[in-house]
Order: sequence, then structure tokens, then C-alpha cells
Amino acid sequence: MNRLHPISAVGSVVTNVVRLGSIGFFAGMMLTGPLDVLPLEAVFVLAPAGALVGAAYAVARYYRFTYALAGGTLSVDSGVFDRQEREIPLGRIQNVDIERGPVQRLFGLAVVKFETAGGSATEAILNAVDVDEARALQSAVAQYRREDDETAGDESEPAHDMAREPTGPEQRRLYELSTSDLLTLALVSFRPAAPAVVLFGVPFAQEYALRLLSATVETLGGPSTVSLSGLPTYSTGEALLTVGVAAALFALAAWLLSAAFTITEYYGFHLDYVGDDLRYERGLIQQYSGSIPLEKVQTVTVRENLLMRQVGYAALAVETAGYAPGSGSQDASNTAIPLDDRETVLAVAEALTDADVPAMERLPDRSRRRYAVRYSLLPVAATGLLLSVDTLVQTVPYWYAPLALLPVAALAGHLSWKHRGFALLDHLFATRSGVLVRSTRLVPYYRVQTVIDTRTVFQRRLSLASVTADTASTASLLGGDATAHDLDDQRARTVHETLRERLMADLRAGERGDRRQGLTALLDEADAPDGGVDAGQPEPTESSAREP
Amino acid sequence: MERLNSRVQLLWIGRAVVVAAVLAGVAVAIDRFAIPVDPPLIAAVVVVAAVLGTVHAVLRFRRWRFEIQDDALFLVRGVVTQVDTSVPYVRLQHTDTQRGPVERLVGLSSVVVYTAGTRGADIRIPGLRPERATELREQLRELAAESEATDAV
Repeated sequence: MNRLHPISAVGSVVTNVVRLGSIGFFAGMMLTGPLDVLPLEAVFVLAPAGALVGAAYAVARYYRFTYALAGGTLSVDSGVFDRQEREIPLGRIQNVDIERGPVQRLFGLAVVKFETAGGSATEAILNAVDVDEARALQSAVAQYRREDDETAGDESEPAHDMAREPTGPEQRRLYELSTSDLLTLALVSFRPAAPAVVLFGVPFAQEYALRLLSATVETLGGPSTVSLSGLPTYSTGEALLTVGVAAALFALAAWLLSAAFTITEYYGFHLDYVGDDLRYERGLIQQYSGSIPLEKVQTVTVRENLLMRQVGYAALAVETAGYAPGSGSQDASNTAIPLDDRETVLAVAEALTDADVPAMERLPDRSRRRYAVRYSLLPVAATGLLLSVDTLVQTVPYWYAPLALLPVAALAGHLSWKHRGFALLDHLFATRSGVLVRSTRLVPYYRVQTVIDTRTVFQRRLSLASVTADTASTASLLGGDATAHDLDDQRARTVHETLRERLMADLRAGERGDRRQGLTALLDEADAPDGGVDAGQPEPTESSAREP
Repeated sequence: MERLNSRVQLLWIGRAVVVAAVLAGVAVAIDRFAIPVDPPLIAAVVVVAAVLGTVHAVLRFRRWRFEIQDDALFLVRGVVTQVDTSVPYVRLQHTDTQRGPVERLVGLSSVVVYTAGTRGADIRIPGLRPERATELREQLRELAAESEATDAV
């Protein structure tokens, strides 16, 4: 039985004292002041009493929280009033994540999170333990899995202890995010949080924002002071300039903030191959480290946004069934390679899935027509709306203006079509879609849970269908399912059948793909003492098959 | 391919009628508390909703079928968007029979199969006679056990 680190108890005592002490204080103020039920002195009793209760509860919680890693299970006993005893078989643990905030780093502590496939939240959180203990726990889980693999079929239960073995498994550097790549990543990635923060932040720094705006507008020949009340007095040109500059400054601020977020999140990112686990570390202020067992990998996704495609870069995500849907930094937790050139990313993806990422099968031409028509509906509808306003309510000049967007709609349709595709390989189903962010999803057949065909009314008219290979992977909202969209109806039926057959065949054959060998070969090929995969030159013959 | 019990149409039509009635209630509320609405308009909306719901229920019943195949449960359903689903027996986590109060009223039962997938995690076969539902559940359980899932998540 182990306890959490005593310093963490001190920390939670302090937080609880502050929290309950202030609750006591405010309750006292309310009861003595406006409500006038108690004499004024009660405040000096209630506040310390609250603090005392908070401290006592924190101490009790600390002493009632024990964990142990033995006999192939992680057991966590917790709770002061409601006691909870939880046992997690080590073989079922998907991810072990270590997080260290600034305070924890100051005291050499770390928060350890254990994820399994079931449940709606993280299954066990140790907040917090010594950082060496955290690493030892992470290794022990990996160690157990390895031994369990070796003794598979053997009835004798291997003894497991805290496994602080002196000779750990070989650790090899698979990937390291260089400073220049980090900066590139910061510039090409977009975070929706950034504009939101800028939007909420501007009112707090109103003075500075206005001064900056005024200065910029003035240098460009606009009015010398910008204010909302002055807006009606501007000429059209001045107003346009002001609005344009404001928008540009907003975009710039959002972009810089987004870059800052990306840098703090991915600073010092590196990925190691330890035993049968992938292990990453990243973070500037809050440090994260996570382990992804190779045997738990459900799907592998290659992601390229519009900007990354222009410069030939891509990112790689490895999904397990561990994270609960919608859990916070899920995207970052799944990331195996935040950014690297396409060739390297594909090489790692191929090693992880033991398959060559193929040229994709294109969709039929009528799918392209379908997309073009679908996107055209928007300008057509807008025109219709304006026309009806024009005839029924009041005259609208240029009511046909939205029709000018029709070529854009056609182009969007073409691009959607061009970036969509799928492929059936020996042991792998691959799908690709997305224009702004293109995702190539690789699903080993033996990971398929259900196969779902859908045909909407509009698809049926063109005899098209979509096929989804559902897996247990907790794909993010952005990522979505491995769906091959708008195939020919007949082809969709074949794909459905094939997925089913291959699933059974690969399960029966015990096909798991030799990812271990693939990765080792890749690392050997890199053939540099500390260079990682980056040093490996892609073979020219491989690239020809992969171009979109 | 096995079809559902035809009584399930009653259930679905009933549901459509309830939706239409709720619509009528909303329309009456708007008429009473906000802006006046023509009674004929209300009647038209309710009738159209009820008719559409009924047609949908009938078409849904005609389309719905399922089959216990060699290695997977195969389902065909959907009116506007047609959906074909294969649920391999190896992937069955557990199977339920469920009977809601309204289902009990028409003497029907549902079987729900669960997988570990994220999209098609639970799949419901409605409109079964209770005996058939129990039988199906047992059958699926045996098939799942026979296929012995070697691939824990």
C-alpha cells in the first residue's frame, strides 16, 4: 500500500483551508450582516471553523487514499465518507499519462492518470506522487504487458511488484520536434481557442487596443483617434480603413496567440519507443508525458491541413480506446508526431500499421457532381432569398450577386472530391477526406467493430453509398469515423463484405501486424546514433505510389 | 431475412400521433398567448404531421429486416437514409431485451446489442414478440460465446 506524496497533502490542505475558510467567512458575513441572525463575532468563529474542517478533510482524504500495483492489478482505495475500492487489471490499461504543472515541478511531483477503455472519465488519478515513482509506475505497466505477452498461454501467473528493474527495456528515440519544426508548427496550426481568447480579452485591455488601432490607422492616413462614438463622423473610406485595420489586427493577434498556445503545448516534444510502448513528452509550462501501448492502437491517422500540404508537411495521431469522448486535450494526447515532412510521417504510419499507405481509390465522377451541386445550393438559395425580398418587400440592388460564387462552389466540390478516397489493403482499410484538414485514417481490419452502410435519398438517386468501419477508437469531433464517402453502390457492397470477411479472417489468423519489427527496422534504417527517423532518407521509389 | 412484428407499426403511428398532438398543443398555445393562428391552419399542420408520421412508420416497417448470418448480425433499416449494418458476433459486448411501458401495451419487446464501437455502440431491434426477443437474445449470446472474442479492447 502506497500513499501519495506528503507534499501533495500539504497542497490540498492549503487549497481546502482557503476554500472552506472563505466560505465560512462569507457565510458569517451574510448571517451577521444582511440576515442579522448571529452576532458579529460569529464571523471570527465561522471562518476558522471552515478552515479547520477543510484542513481536516484534506488530511483525512490523504490518509484514506492508498494505491498499490501488485499481482497484475492496480488497486486504488479512496474516499472519506464514501469508500471506493477500485481494481484495474494492468492488461486493460490503455494509456498512462503523467502531467506536471509549474507547482508540481517545483516540488518534484507528478500527476499520474490511468485510462482504460470503459467508463466516461479517467479511471484512476494519482494526484500527486514523486516524479520517479510516476515514471516507475508507467514502466511497471509496460513491463507487465510485456511479460504477459511472453507468458501468454502459460498458466503460471508472473509475480509483479513495483518493478524498479535496474536494466529497463531498450529506449530508442523515434522522433524529436526540432526548434524550426516547432516554429513552423506554430505558424501553420490554427487553434479555435485563440480568436475566442482575443475576443474576450480585448475589453480588458480596451485602452491599449484602441491606442494600437489608432496608431495603425493614423500611419495609414486615417483619422488620428479612433473611437466608437466617432464612427458616424468618418467618411466611407475612413470607416472602411478602420474596420479593415481592426480585422487585420484581430487576425494577427489571434494568429500570434495561437502560435503561443502551440509552442507551450508542444515545446520539447519527443517520441520514444520503449519496449512495446510509444512514449511522448511535451510541454513548456505544463509538462505532459504519456505512454501508448502498440498493442492497444486502434487507428492511425495522418493529418495535413491546407498550409501543411503546401509545404509538404503532415502530422500523425495514434488513437486508442482510452480517452473518454470529448475529454479535454485528447487531440494532443493522441499525437505521435506533431509535424514532420510527409515522407517521414508516412514511414512511421506504415511501420505502426505494418502496411504501405497506398494510392487511394478515387470516387466515381458523379460524386464530384454531387458535391458541386451541394455547394452550389448555398449561393442559389441566397439568390432566391434576395429575389423574393426584391419582388415582395423592397428592391434589392444586385440580387443576383451571390451567383458569382457558383464557380467557387464548383471548385469546392471538385476539391472535396479530389481529397476523398479509400483503399482496401491486405490487413488495412484506409479512408481519406477533408480539404481544410485532410485526414487519412488507417484501420486494421481486426479492429473493426461494426460495418455500417448509409444511403441518403440523394445518394440513392445517383446510386452512391457511404461505408463506415466503426472502431473502439475515441476519434475526436474533428477526426470522426473511418468513412469512405459516396462510393458506387455496388462497390460499397463489396467493401462492406470485404471488411466483414477480412475482420474474421484476420482475427482467426491472429493477425496483429508486426509493428514491433516495423518500428525496429525503421529505426535501424535511420542508421544514425541519435538522429531518429528524421535522418532516414525516404526511398524515391516509395514516394511515387503515395502522391494524392 | 426476418421482419418485425407488424404490430410495431401501431407503436410508431402512435408516436407520430403524439408528436402531432404536441404540435397542436404548441400551436394552440401560440394562438392563445402570442399571435392569433387560424384554426384551419392548425388543423392542417396537425393532419399533415400525422399523415407524414404514419406513412413514415409504414415505410419504416416495410424496410426493417434483420438476419442472423454466419458470422454477423445483419440489419437493414431506414426510410430517408437507408442504413445497412453488420455486427460481427465477436464484437458483441452484451445483449439486452427491453420492454418499455408502451411496448408492453402492444405486447412487444426489443433486443439491444452493444459493441465497443464509438458510432454503432448500441443497436436496437424493435418490434419483436417477447418470446422471440428472449430467444434472439439467447441465440446471440451463444453465437457471441462460440465466436470467442480473442481481441479484448
